[in-house]
This record gives sequence, C-alpha cells and structure tokens, in this order.
Amino acid sequence: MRCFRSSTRMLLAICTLASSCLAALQPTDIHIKVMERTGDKLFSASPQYPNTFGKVPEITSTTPLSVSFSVKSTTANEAVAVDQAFVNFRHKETGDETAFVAKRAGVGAYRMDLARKHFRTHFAPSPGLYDISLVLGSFADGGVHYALGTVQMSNGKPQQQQQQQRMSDTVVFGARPEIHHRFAEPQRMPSAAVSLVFAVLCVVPLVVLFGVWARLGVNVGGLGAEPVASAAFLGLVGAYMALAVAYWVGVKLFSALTYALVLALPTYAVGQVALSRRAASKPC
Amino acid sequence: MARESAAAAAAPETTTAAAFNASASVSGIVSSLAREYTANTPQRLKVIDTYMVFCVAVGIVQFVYCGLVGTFPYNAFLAGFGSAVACFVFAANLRMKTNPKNRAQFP
Repeated sequence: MRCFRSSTRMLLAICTLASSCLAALQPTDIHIKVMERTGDKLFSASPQYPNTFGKVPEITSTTPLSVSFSVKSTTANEAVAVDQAFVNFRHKETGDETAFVAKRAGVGAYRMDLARKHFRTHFAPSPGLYDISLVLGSFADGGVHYALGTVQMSNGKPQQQQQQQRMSDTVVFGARPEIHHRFAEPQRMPSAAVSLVFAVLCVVPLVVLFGVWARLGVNVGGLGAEPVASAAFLGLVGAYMALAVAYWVGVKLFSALTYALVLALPTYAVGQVALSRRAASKPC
Repeated sequence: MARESAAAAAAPETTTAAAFNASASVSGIVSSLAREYTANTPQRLKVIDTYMVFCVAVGIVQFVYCGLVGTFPYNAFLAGFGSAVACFVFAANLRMKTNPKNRAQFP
C-alpha cells in the first residue's frame, strides 16, 4: 500500500477543482469497518454519498481499519474504473495529511486496509482526530472529494502523555545546556622498571651478537680495499636510519617517503660500486 | 619365588638404564650436532646464523613484553616485532644464497 504525505495537497486540490467542474463519479457501497484482531467487529458504518458516518470510532494498532467502496458513473449509471482512488486522512489539529491508495477489488470496486505497520509509522507518532475522506479521479468522468467522517487514532498512551509528547516535540529556541568536557582517562602504563628491564633484555642479544661475531673473526678490514665507496655506502645507510628517527620525531609520512626516494638512487649506485669492487678484490 | 624376586629387582634397574640411555642419547645427539656444525659450517654461514638467532631472541623478548604488559602502544609492538621477523626472513634468504652447497642454484 502506498501512502503520500502533504505533497499530495496539490493533487487533492486539482481533484476537488475537477469534481466541481465535471462531477460524474459517485461512490457507492461504502463500508467502513474497525475490527478486532480476532475478527470481531468493533465499528461498522455504511454512509450514503454525500453523508458522513456519525460516530467517531477509535482505531489503534491492534484494531485495523478497512474502507471499501464502489464507484459508479452517474452518466452511464454503471460501475467504472477510476484512474486514482485514495483514502485521505487529515489531522484536525496539525492539518497533516496522509493518503493511502485504495486497491482495485473488482470492476469499479476498491478497498483500503490500514496495516499495522502503516499505523505505527504514520499515526502512532501523532494521534488524535482525523478527517477521513475519499479522493477519486478519472480523466473521463472528473473527480470527487467525499468527506466520510472522523476517526480517532490512538496509540494507547493516555491523553495527558500524548499532550506532553506533543509539547516536547515543539521546537524551543534558546540556550542549550552547558557541555562539560571530560578528558579521556590516560592509558594504564607499566612501571618504568619493567620497561627498563625489557629494554635491557632487547639490547643484550645485540651485545652477545657482537661478541660472537668478534670471536668468529668478523672485522672491518675489508673496507680498506674500497674506502671511499664503502664509507659513502655506510653513510647513506646511516642516513636511512636517521630518516627513520626523524619520521618518529616529527617528519610526516609522505615527506619521509620523498626523502627515502631521494636517498634510494645514490644508495643503490654507491652500494653497487662498493660491493662489486669488494667482490672483485677478493681472491677466487 | 627366588626367580620372581630377582626379576622384580631387575625391572627398576632396566627402567633406570633405559632412561639413562635415552638422556645420554639426546645429549649425545645435541653434542654431535654442535660438533658437526662447528666443524663443517663455513664462517660466513655462522655469522648469518648468529644474526638470525639474534633476530629470534629480540622478537621473543618483544612478544613476551607485549603479553605481560599489554599492546599499548600497539604500533610500537607491530614495528618492533615485524622488523625482527623481516630481518630473520632476509637473513634466511641471504644464507640460502651464500651457502656453497647451493652454488648450482645461485651461481
């Protein structure tokens, strides 16, 4: 079932104007029913066009509303299919309108059942008295706007609570309550002693590594074979480490990447020269 | 009767001897492995192996710290642990390339 909000006012106005000009449609066999979930009939009315039904039935989400009617052409005196058939609900206080499409249920016969989800969406937030009307339109026979009567949409809350809810929905312009900022609690950090112990534990393997290397005979004597290129290569490797420290301290990521790219080419070239000359100088 | 008591007395001795033999075999395997490694492994590979052990040790220390204290700051743990793992992987690749036994595959 489709529904339309107040944007259909223009359409309803056009239909009303058309009905005053042509007025060849007549709603007949109008039945308005409010049923219990069990199927028991709480309210039933069959007004004759253009009269309204007198009573004001109460409709809740558990007591669905059903509107059925037929449309007859006064000129041809037979049931006709119309191009538009809406059941329109208009809030008496706010003037908000909601229209539901009446589905075709036969030749010239239409029916609208107000489903529970539509009630919750459109009427539960704004309960109260609604004027219910039929809006029919046909390109051949004109349009009709027929006021059926008044229904009470209720969401189950007491009248006072509904009024309070309506009052709380109104917009109030003025100073907002003051916001008091709360700083985030600092992260729980370990004690400095624990951190220091683990820092020492990370350094100890490095000391052991240098000691084992010294015992294995690792030395820097081979750098003398190509001192310039080796010094340049080691200097550029050191520059990379300095760049990592700079990035940690404050240099932004993309700036650091740019510097790394600038250092990459000379590092590669100098390293290639140093290592290849060192390899060439070693006996086979 | 005398045979049964002798058999019962011999059973624990057999178990102790087997355990002793097992531990001796394990220690023997480890010592022979160390001897083989020291004698037959080129110096260059020992240098790389030492560096790989260093990477493993540093990674383990960082992991234990993270498990005990927590992950904050997480990026620092990721950087440190990831660096140790990456260094280990690169060192393993270097070892494969410099191993004289792989000279046919890496000329």
